[in-house]
Amino acid sequence: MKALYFAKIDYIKTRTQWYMMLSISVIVIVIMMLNNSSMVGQVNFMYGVFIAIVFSTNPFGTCTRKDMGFQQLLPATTFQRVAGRFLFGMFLLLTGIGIGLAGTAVYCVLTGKAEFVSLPMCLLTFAVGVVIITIQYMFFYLVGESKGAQLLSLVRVAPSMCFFFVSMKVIGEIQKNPTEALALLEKVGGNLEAIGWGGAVMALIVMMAGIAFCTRATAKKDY
Amino acid sequence: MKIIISNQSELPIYAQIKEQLKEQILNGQIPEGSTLPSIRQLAKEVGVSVITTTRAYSDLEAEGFIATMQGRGSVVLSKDNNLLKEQYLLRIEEGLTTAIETARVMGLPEEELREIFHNLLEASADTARG
Amino acid sequence: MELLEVRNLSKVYKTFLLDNISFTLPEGYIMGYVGQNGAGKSTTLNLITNICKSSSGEIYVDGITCEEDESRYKESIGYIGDEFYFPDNFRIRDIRSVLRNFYKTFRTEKFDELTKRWKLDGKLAVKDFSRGMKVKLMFASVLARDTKLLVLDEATNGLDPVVRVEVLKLLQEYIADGERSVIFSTHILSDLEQIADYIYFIHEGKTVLYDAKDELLESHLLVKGERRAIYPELQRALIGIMDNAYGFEAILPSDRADLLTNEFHFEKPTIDQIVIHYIKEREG
Repeated sequence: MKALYFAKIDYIKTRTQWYMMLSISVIVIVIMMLNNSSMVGQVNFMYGVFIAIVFSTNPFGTCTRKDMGFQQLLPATTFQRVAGRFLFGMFLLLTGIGIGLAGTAVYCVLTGKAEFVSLPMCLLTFAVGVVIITIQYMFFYLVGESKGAQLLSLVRVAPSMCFFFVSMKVIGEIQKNPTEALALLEKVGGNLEAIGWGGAVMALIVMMAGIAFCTRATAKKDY
Repeated sequence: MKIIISNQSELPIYAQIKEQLKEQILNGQIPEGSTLPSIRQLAKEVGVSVITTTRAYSDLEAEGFIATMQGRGSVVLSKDNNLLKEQYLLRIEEGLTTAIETARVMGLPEEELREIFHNLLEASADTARG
Repeated sequence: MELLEVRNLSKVYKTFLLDNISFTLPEGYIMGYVGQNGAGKSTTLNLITNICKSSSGEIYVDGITCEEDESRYKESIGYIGDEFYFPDNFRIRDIRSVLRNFYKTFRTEKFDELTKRWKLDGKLAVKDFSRGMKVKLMFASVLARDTKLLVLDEATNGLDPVVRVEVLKLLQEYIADGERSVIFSTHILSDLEQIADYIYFIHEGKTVLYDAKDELLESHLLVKGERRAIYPELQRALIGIMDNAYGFEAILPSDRADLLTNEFHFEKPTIDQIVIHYIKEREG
């Protein structure tokens, strides 16, 4: 429960950025839809995840030495504090995905096209998002939460950019060679769904491990 | 009851409190049987530390001015109490000694000193009678 | 009962060592933790609030260590720092809702009453508060719940005299029931000096003096006189001799008062004067 409250603190702290994220997402998705390209659903979904990754490090950026002190004063364990941060990342991810899906739904209604969203693809994108957020958080907890601000500007965009370009590339490839992609799909066959779910579960396990790791890394640290 | 703490005074704060309370008990401004504020209350009001007021009270208690009782607080003792009587006698002696010494310094004959004493005593008795 | 007990507390930093601090503070009393900037005052208080982790030693608040029960330990402490610690963009209602989430004993009505009484503007983000308002907000957040120990780190810095006096009254009210205690650090004593029961004085991470304040004041004399009048035995007894063009000033333990001839003037010192001369003595 206290972890949830810590996530709430992160939310209040980053409230303005949160509004920014929502508006950016909406704008991006509108632009996407105007381009009228194929696989809109998939790309929207990806955008949602991308933006969540970008914003997920925000609590570290606004985390000065003194408000770290405030969080340390609260009667809770380090684990709860760290878990709260991961929960916050998770909420962002889900919000991003929600916006992506909502965008797609609006697109479908407006254009009257039936847009195809592949569940396994979404699951895998989600999994990659979770893993990237976990790695980012581990990195910040390792260097120290309050040192985040300076480092943030350097590393913030790197992981999300990688994610963005790689997934764009993948989608681009699929768009270029739909037949090959289909062939690949055939090959994996019915296992695709299993792979998607497996990936998502794996990602969540990685996140749990990340929480444990960060709790240990930060428990003995001074603010 | 009034207490004024001076930072210029050479007396430590606890002694200032003690002396002022003593003075007011002796001249009757704080009547016997009345309850003094609690140690913590006094510390808060005067703006000094609790240890300081504790010390002032325990000194007053040792000199027989007050008694601290569970639940009733610190009560000003009656003037009949022996310790207090001693304090009074001490004060009288002090005052008279000063008078005698002053008389000696100016070379006043003993007779005249006695006369002054008697006159003053009567005058005071007259005012007391109203 | 001891409300706060610090045993052999040390903290090692690359360039600073807080060395073996030990003291106790009974229920219902106020301790002044005194020293220069950088003496280790904040470090000690941060260790007590568990914002920082000690290298060795134990801290007991109301009988328990932070390791034994982190939540209860932290619930029982109220901390007011020299830096304002609420996140910049928070408003009063954000702080209230967070505090209510975390602290079992937090009373919203009490918090509202205090913020109202002190006219704290609910529309502003707290970063736009004046220093005085920030301190009051921290006080409101702490006084609105049941704590046993108040930890104040230079909390009256930058406050105007009127607010300082209010803070003093608050602290005295806080300990009035005899069950709660206060430890405050400061490098300017003056006004806080009067209400402190105990003084702990550290210099460069090491303990210099620790005693009841009245005891400290009575066991020292401030001596003034001409430098050439100082003879060897007195020279050894004097602490932190400071010269000016026309004479010297130093501290002397009261039990050595017999060394003073009538060439010297002596008077009762303030805690500040004792501190200054002890530091002078240490630094040569």
